[in-house]
Amino acid sequence: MDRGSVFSGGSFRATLYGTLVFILTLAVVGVLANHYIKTQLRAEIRMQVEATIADLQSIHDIDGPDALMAAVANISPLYARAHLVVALRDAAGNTLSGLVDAGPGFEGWTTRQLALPGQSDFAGLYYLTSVPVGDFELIVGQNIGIIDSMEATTLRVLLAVGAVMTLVFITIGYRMGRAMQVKLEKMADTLETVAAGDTDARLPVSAENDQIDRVSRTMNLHLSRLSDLMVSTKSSAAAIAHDLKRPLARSYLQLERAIAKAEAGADPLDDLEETRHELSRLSDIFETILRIARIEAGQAEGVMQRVDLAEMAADLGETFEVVAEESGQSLSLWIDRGQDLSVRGDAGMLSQMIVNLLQNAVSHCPKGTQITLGVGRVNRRVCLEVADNGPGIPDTERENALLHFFRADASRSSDGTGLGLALVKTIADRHGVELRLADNGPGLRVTACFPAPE
Amino acid sequence: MKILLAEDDPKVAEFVTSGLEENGHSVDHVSDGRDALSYCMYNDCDVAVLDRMMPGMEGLSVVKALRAAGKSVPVLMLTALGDVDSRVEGLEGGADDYLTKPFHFSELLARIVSLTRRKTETADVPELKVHDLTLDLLSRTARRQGQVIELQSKEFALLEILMRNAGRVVTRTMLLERVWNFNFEPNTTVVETHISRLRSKIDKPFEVPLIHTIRNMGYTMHGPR
Repeated sequence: MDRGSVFSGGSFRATLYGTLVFILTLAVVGVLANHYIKTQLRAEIRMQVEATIADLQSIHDIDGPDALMAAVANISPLYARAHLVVALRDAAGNTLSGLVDAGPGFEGWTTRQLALPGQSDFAGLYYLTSVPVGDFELIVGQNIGIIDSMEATTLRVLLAVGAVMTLVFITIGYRMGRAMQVKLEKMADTLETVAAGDTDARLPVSAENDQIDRVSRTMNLHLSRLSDLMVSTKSSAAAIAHDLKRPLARSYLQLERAIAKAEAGADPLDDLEETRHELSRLSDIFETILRIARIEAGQAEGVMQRVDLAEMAADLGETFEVVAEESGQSLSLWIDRGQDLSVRGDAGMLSQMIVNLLQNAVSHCPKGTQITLGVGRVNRRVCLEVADNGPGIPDTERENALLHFFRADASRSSDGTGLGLALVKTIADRHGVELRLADNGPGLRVTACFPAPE
Repeated sequence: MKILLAEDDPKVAEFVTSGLEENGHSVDHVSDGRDALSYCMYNDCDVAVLDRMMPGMEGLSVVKALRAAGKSVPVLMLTALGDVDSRVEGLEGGADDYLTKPFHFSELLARIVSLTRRKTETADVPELKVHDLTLDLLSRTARRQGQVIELQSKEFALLEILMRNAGRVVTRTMLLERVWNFNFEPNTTVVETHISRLRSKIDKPFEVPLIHTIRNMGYTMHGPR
């Protein structure tokens, strides 16, 4: 797999943008938090320092300046351990008590670097204030090195978190991109396989049900339809070749025999007529194939108009009554006259559909068969039915009967083109008609139901 | 009869020409649509047989131009296989009949003859007569030797066409088209069975048969000769 295409993939880029936004947010939040914490800590220190000053002030006010001096001298080593500084200076700035030299005089709050000889722990940055107490200057402060170190720690933590998260994000992004890339590549491979002729190849669909899976599922559906089409095209092409070859081969042989007869001075007329018959058959097959193709391609549409199916069925029924009787069969007509049985369609096509169904029944049934042609309404839909009590079509083969060149007798000895029902199906499809073949127990029942009116 | 044949396939043209000439007709052959049009504009002929697909000008356009110019020469249009539906187009465009390739020569001949006749018979006759059989088109009754013969509607239509073309061949396809309005090959014995019915009604009970089968061509009606 090409790593470059993972990095340029959509999902990796989305993660990268996400990471950038995260780092930016982290930085802004860090700065704001740091500022807030620092301000809070300083306020805390001020409160502590001011409390200490108030205590010392009250010692001075109650017990006098000497007591204050002693108190400062006593507490300053203790305070030092708590990173606090306490010092007492006179007006000239000389340190009288306490452990530190706070440097030049100042007023209010300031920040100074202080050091204490021999006590390295004490050294550091102090936040301190000086207030006059009696004749003294009292200096109290707190080491704020802790704030700085905290700032540094916060920064380190933020940096570490940022780095780790970036790494995690990029890894996730890469893996997601890779997964997607793998799926896309599999998709491309499958499509290539299909294009190369393996129509059974299907796109993998994972349980994740992501967009690619959903697209894959839709594409698989299309692939199935495509392969069905290709299979039926292949099989009908083979069937066409087979069915055209027979009359061709026969006419070729008959023609040769006619020539031989003519050369021998005999009468070749019978053979020539047979040849013509075979060629006629060939022409009929071509005609039907072309008609199916034209109807399927939607080129054969005449005018879609209201067709009274009852009238058409009655007319054709009357004609085929005679045909059935001549074949020793009987045809009965059943029309639900109480209803409007008109449909929208091409009269020529519909007439051909009914003729093919009736002729199919007559051709494939023995003497004595009863055929019925019925038209009526079933749940608002106009339905036409041709049923017989002949041999029918076995359950397993009934579905194939609508395919091109199907014949119930595998020997293909009967004289039909094997296209009659295929043409019926084509015409039915064109009219949105639901065509059903069922067992008539015994026999075959073909039902064609037109779409219900809007 | 003088016939114009406009057909660009030289082999088909040769067959048709020689066939028609053998049957006593004179044929002028052109292989271009424009030639066909100018021929019909300046020459008289009894029938024009036009191929639908021709170089120069389509057969359908030729018919339309002829009709627009007021020429009423009967036109038989030839069309490629599978083009059943352009039949309607052709007939609406002014053609008088339509034949799908490949065709049997006998079919073409029968249709040409039938076309020339159709022009003269357009006059509404109330009654058709062949030998001792009469067909009253108003009361829709058939009588032979004074006996009324009961006919089904399809049988009546069949008999009418046969009688209108008495003495000429009517092919099976012509009957399918004109009696049943089937513009497709139904692969049925509809015509044969109906002819047989008709025969049993109008011929069998009488001595002289009127309906005759012409092998590999069709049917014809005539009295004793």
